[in-house]
Amino acid sequence: MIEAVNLSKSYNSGAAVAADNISFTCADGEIVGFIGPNGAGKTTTIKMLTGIIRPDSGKVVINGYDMAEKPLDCKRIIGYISDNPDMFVKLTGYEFINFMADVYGVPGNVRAERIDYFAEQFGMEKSVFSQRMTGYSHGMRQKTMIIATLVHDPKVWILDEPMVGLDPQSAFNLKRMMREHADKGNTVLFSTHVLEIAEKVCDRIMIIDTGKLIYTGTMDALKNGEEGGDLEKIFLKMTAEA
Amino acid sequence: MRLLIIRRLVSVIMRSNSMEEAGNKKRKAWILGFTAFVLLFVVIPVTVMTGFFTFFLTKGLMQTGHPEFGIKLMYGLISIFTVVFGINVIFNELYFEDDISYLLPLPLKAEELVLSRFLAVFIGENMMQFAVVIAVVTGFGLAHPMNILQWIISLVAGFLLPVIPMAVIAIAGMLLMTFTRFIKKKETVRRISFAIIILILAAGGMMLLSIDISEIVIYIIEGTASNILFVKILDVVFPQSGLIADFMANGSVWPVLVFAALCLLSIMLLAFCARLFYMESVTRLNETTHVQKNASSAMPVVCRNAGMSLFVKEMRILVRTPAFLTNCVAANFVWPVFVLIFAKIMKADLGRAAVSAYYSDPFHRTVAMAVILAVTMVTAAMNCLGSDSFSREGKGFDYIKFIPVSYRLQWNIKTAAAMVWTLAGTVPFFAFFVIYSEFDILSAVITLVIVIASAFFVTELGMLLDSLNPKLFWLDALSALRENYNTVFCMGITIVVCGLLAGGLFLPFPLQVSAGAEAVLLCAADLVLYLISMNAGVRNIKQIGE
Repeated sequence: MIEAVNLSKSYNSGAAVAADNISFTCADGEIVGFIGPNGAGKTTTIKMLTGIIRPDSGKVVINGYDMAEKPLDCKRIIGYISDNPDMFVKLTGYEFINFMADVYGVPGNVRAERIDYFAEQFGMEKSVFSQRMTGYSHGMRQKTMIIATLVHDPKVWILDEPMVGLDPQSAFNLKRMMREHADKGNTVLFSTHVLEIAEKVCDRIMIIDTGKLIYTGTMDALKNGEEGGDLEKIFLKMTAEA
Repeated sequence: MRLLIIRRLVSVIMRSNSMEEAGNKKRKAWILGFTAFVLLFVVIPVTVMTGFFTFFLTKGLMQTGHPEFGIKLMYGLISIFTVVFGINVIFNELYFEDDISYLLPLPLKAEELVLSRFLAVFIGENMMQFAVVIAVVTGFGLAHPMNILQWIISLVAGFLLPVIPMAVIAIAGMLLMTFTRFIKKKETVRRISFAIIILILAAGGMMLLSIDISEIVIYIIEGTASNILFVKILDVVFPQSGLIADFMANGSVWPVLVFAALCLLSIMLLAFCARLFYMESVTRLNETTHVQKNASSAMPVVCRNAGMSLFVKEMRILVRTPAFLTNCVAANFVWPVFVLIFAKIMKADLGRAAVSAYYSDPFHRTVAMAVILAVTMVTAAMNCLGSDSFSREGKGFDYIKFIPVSYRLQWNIKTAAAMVWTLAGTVPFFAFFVIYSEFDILSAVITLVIVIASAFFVTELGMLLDSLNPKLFWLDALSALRENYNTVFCMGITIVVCGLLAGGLFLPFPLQVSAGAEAVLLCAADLVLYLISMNAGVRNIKQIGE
């Protein structure tokens, strides 16, 4: 479970507010989509949830652990995919995945099994992992990043634009894996610009604009409101009003 | 060719290479303080000393009737340094910077691209060097009076001194890339360029080994240079040194006109070569690897604890990234070559009996310890393993924050990775030296303690500086090191500390600090610095990006 309580964050001595008193809960067994225009505050909020930046005020609680008080316990529970897969590209895929598995203390036999599973899900030949990531395409790096992030089987998935660069089959499989993970009683929070993805996958969505959470609720509740249930029109109207 | 486009491109390229300002006022104040410190205690004193040196050298040479010989030799040496330090940078700027892939689709001519990148490197790399040139011109001008026009032209010519060597490197680079066009992989081309740099350095080293110090003295005093290979090569490869020196000494306008024509010619030649070769050679490079059929698919399962895994990751990235391999790793192993060259030039007897007898004198041994201290500290500052430890992470810096490994452990791992390379480049040589020179056990132990403690001091200092404001926005690994003020600050502070410690060994009694006392002092300073790192340094890292 992810709990964000009154999170605020500003830059340039308060001149630019990236998150303005944001509170929400992502319950166990739930997939929550985080949507908003560019620069709305999605990545800042996600970075606060993962301990990358500290909020000016408010707190983050992951499965009962307070990020400020027990950061390492929180981080062990989280699997975080950043919006930049170009990390450690001088390592081979295997070296990167092994590195992440070591950091999270995944036993050798378990990591091998998981890599087999994920490689199959993402249609990656395992021989690719023996080569350095400098030669990977953006999509291959993204897939390797996802595998390395999920190799420790985290309870809480926090994914920043995870579908970017994925081919349709891999995107479909990732969405299915998100569903299966949530159905096991775990939590998935992901940000996206693609409203169709949010519409198809999420149990609940949160819309953020100019640092403020302007909607939290189910897709059905949102659609039943107005604009004939067209999420795109509703989104555009809400963000224009905000 | 559109000059406005070139100007815009130069501005964009220079901005993308520059460092971001620190995030908060406190850090800005620290950085301002370090800047002032380095200016006051390093840049200005070095510049003034260079000026004085040139002044006295010129005064002495005026009596022989050849006032220009000293400045000619100094400009020749500056040109050598331009080549040595410029090769890697220009290769990188023309072929390996990541922003090239964004510029290639634009409707720009090859010569516009090449000249703008060339100018960006020229300006970026020569600002510090220009301070030395000003000192040299001033020292010369005070010793050998020049009119106002000579002063102005001398300064402008000094600023333009690196144009010809840098253009030659750029042209050679383009020719190399063209003649190796059958190689498509960027990594392979990088390795080849690295090998060529090593070859050029080796050739330079061999050339320097041929120098006889007595011949150089005769050259400076009598001007009989015809039989010195080193000077002959300097005259041929860097004719601009002689031309500028001639103008400064005699005021004749012809040498400076020839120099200006050579500069113009080299730039035109660069543009011409760019038009012929650049696009063809840069567009064939790619980094996309196709899956090799024979590549192993078996997963190498090697389980390590988190700390060891971080350490291995750090080492792999250092060794596999060409810019880090050359500047951070290989840099540790270069200095013994220079020591050997120096010993050869000075005609030192390196036989064991002679060395042992020489260092049995306590004063000589103290001098050796001071040199060892200086070499270790400067090596640790020069390899910038500490001062770019966080900058090296670049856009991937966030992982430090989200992995479940304490910041302190991560800090210590980075320190360990840096220490391994610094000590690998110093301890074996100094251990060999103390054994070869038959130091007594106590002196040997003190020497090794000084080496380890001083390497740790500089590494930790560098990491502290880098934690204040790491350069995280860079497109290519070499840019993480270039124009990174943290490495400059670290080198500046190191030089001052090193001067104080080495100087302390030679103060008159009772102010003199013994080598043993300095070893203890360094260990105590290490402890203090480490405690600061574990608190303020770690706090800095936590706050980055906030």
